[in-house]
Amino acid sequence: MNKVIEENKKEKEVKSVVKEEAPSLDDVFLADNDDSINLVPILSKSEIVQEKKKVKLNIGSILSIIIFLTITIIIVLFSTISKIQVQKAQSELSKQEAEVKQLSSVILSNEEILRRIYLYQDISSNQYSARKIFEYFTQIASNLGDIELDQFDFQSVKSVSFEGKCPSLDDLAKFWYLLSEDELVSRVSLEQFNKLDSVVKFEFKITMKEGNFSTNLDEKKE
Amino acid sequence: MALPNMQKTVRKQEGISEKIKNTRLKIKDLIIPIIVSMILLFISIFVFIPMLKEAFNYRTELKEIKSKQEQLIKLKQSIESISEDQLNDDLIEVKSVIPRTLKVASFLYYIDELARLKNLTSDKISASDVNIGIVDKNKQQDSNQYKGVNGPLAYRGSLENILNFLDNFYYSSPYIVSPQNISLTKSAELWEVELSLTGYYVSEEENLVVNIYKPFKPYTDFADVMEILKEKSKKLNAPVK
Repeated sequence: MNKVIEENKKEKEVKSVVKEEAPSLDDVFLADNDDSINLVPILSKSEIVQEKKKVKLNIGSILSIIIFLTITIIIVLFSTISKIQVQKAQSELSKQEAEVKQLSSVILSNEEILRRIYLYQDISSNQYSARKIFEYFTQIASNLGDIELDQFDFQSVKSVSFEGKCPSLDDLAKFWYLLSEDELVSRVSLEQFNKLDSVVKFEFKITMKEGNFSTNLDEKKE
Repeated sequence: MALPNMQKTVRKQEGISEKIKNTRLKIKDLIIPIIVSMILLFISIFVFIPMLKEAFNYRTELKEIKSKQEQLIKLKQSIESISEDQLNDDLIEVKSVIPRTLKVASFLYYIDELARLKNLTSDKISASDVNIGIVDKNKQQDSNQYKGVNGPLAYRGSLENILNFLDNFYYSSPYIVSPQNISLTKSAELWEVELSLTGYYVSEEENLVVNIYKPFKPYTDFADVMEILKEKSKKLNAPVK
């Protein structure tokens, strides 16, 4: 019995010696192994890393929450201020609309006058002087001598056709040439001609350059 | 002494391998960041983005309202620059020249009177109501807005008188007239003029609604046209000689 107790004691002693001699895994890394006595328990390296991680994690979390809250506050404020501004502006606009609507009779009267002014402008922009056109082409014809123009059809400010007669085809050709070379004429078309004895009858269709025979407001005032 | 050193080395190695194992990223380490990220993403999608969208819509609306306010201020200033009494007088004068309805008798009277003054004899006079639409793209006028009295006319006389007659159509007629298809034919010593003449009027619109946001242009900007129309009005109101 005593033997058994002694053996157990020995085993315990060996184990305690082994334990004392073999420090923990972490202690291995921390211990300086200089056999000095450290009264303050030193943190193991992994414990230090863990602690550092915890601190970093906490600062990171706080920063994230602050940023998140800041963004939230900014967005909410931005939205709310915008809404308030819109509401305020709308109420001001309604007041302005009411004020202007009181003047609607002036607006309507102004529109009535404008409609008439635009009508006048539309009509007058297409007006032309038949006299000017008539006299211009009659002058060209009379410069050649015996050419007589006896019918005019004024289609528009740019288009006129006229009929006439001359003694020979030569005269007709000269007249045609003069018309085609004229600076106010953009296109000449000899629609038809007939030679009967000593008279050549012809019909020209002329397209004139714009603006040369139109009447303008200043002329109308006179 | 050799045994403890060996044991130390072994334990050191074990410690290093344990530490390496600990530094490996495990799935459980990622759960919380992933959940937090997901929550943030959901909040962003369902709260922040709609709120921002709404806020930007408000900004756009605010800009529109501001521009409308500026427009109304300008409109009010323009309206206030017009004298209401003058406007009413001008409206009456302009309406007499371009009326809401043009009487055929009145219209032809002035034309025939002009021809008589120019010693022209009438061959043909007739008139009828027609719709004449003038579309001006720049002014965005509606088609069929203007109506006109239209009819063929024919007069005979000397060339000078005929040409004077044509010139004076524009200048002398108190109404707004426009001759079309003018044909001038010599017959013997006289000339004959045939034309299709239209006198214009503006039909009355029913249920006029004021659009205050329509671009406003004061009629006083067209002083030259107004002067002509006023002169025509004076002629129209002058006693017939």
